[in-house]
Amino acid sequence: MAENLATPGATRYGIRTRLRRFGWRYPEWWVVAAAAAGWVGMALTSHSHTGHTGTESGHLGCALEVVVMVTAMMLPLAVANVRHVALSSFWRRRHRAIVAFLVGFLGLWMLVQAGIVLTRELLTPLVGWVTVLVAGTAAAVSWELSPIKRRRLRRGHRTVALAPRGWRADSDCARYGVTTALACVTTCWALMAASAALSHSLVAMALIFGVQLNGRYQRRPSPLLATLAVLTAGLLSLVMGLPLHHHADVALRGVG
Amino acid sequence: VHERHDIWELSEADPWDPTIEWYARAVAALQEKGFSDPTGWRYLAAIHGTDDNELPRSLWPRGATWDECQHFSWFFLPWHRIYLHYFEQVVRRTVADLGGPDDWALPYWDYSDPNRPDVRKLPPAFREQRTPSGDPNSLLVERTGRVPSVNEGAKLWRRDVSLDAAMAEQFFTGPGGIAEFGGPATGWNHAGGTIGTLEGTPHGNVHVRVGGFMGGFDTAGLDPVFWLHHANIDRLWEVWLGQQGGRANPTQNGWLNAWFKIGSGASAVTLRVRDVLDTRQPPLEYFYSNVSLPEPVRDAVIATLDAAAPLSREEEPMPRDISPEMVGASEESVALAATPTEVEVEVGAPAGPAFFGDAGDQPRKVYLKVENIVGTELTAPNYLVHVDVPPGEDPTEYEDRLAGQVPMFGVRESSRPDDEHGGSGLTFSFDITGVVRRLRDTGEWDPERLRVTFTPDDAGEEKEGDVSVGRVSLFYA
Repeated sequence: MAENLATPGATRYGIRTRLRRFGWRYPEWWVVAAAAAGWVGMALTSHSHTGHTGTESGHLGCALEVVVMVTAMMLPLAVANVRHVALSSFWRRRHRAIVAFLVGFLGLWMLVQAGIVLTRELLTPLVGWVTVLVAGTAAAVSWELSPIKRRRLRRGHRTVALAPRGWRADSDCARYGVTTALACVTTCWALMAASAALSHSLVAMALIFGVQLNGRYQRRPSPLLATLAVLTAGLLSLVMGLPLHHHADVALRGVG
Repeated sequence: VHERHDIWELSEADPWDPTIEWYARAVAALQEKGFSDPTGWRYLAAIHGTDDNELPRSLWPRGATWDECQHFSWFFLPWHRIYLHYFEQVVRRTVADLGGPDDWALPYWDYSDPNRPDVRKLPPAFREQRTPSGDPNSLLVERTGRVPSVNEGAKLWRRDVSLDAAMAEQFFTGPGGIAEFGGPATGWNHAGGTIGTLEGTPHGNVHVRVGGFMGGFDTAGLDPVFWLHHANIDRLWEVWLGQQGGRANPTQNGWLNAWFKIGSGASAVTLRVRDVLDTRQPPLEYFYSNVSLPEPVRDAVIATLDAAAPLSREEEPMPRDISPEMVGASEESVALAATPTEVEVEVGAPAGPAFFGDAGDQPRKVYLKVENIVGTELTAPNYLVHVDVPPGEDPTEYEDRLAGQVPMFGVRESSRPDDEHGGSGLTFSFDITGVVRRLRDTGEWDPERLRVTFTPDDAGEEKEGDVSVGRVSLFYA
């Protein structure tokens, strides 16, 4: 026990103790780990949705894409909120409170992202992937330049009072997750639409993610810089998409 | 290197000492300038705050760095230091342009010296109708711009200007949302974190007690005394460091390398926090005429520190890398009224790493947190927070159970979701270890239940407000 109570620096801790202390200090650690896992998932699946429209594996792929994309790109934006929830809860409820928050936060985001991906899947056969890509990029650029986006950025930083016990504690955390997600959707929906349109390019999505992080954590996110990043992402995605979609078209014609 | 003087020392010799009179002339000149001039009075005040709903960002002057005051954050002190530096340069140039000396320096209003109770009055030049030359006095703010009694020479209350809690702090910042001297570690922050101890009292108290313009982020800089008040807060940072005993500025790069730009155009100033830690060095080049702690305050700080010593395991240092553990919180938000308002907190057993000792072990430290205070209309400018006052008793009779004060400075702005504010409101935390020790010694400490009382600290007329406290919580460390 004495080891747990000692001051850091006074004792050389073993790796287990150090990990445990890290977990005490940063109860949000596993949310960050989940987001990192999401990026690994995105790296593995970023090419897979091209050419599967309408098939059973295509539906599964889209569902997986929604889950992985929201986990990877949205969780890092909510880390401060997750930390607030954990530190404002009883010690034994810290991780339960985080889970309740994530149910609200991810639940709403996944619904929204499912709508975005469904729209992409419906539009792509009708107007072509290039048009969808251009539309997604244009939507993101327009939203980045709009004053409404800037006006709403700070709402994602809001903290709220949480009931300490029982179902009210859980529902408060979940409700806080939903309100945080609402603020986040208002500012990020267009970037997530662009991500869905560019999702065959991991580099393009990483650029979009950079714009999101900048908006969340920078003092004065520059709309012009964001626009430039989104346009670069769109262009990259277009260049990288051409051979991919060409192969997918060839494969589909071969099946037909 | 310029010397910033105590305005009351200057005033006692001559209420219109040249430093003060030139300040009045410069303020009058700056007030003549348009709001888009980065050296104009309205522009200077808007850097601290402006209501985006009243003046949309699209109408701001090009490149304006408005509405950027850093509060509830470890950037509170360095941001305001850079802001004052910019202001002082503007006034110094203006004084020189008007034919005055070219070495003018901003005086400070030290209202906390118990040996000189009159310093709690607004300095006389700020209350006069006219300057010695017979011109209207630009330092006087009338009507709704200031509480009338302050202009009539009423003293700030002794509690408003108390330095005991702030000077007793031993750390600039801490983990887990518990306030220390300089505020919590945050990113760019206009509101949302726990309020630092110095920022609460005396800083917030003086703002709301002078009232009017001084009572809100968006208007505070319009009152010429704002700048002298903040010069004193800046001085108190030096006083705190001068106490030593391990008191030191943060060493994290996230703090040291943060930069702030004040103003725009040729006069703009961009400085990192690390550039402004030694005030005698360029670019600041100033010092305060007095950075010592008055003897009675020093004694009070020692008494506060003794009372707040760890309740248990004193031989073991506090684990600074683990955030305090919440052990109880109120269930509902509560409206703050014109009469004392009570909140009950059910306290649970601690279960975190600080309590991996024997069952029933005592905490080292106890903190009370008052979270998410929101509202648009104030019933009172300040509330006293007491713990475990017997039901029906007058809390103000129980000075030894005073946990802290909740000045409402910035409550309107921080409750308003807009460009710069998330709408979280104000959050305070108080070290109540000393209060708990006294209650325990008299057998009145109930480890399972805490009663917290909010008492309006205002002699004025009753007003109907809408301010509420989101939650009251108890933390052990």
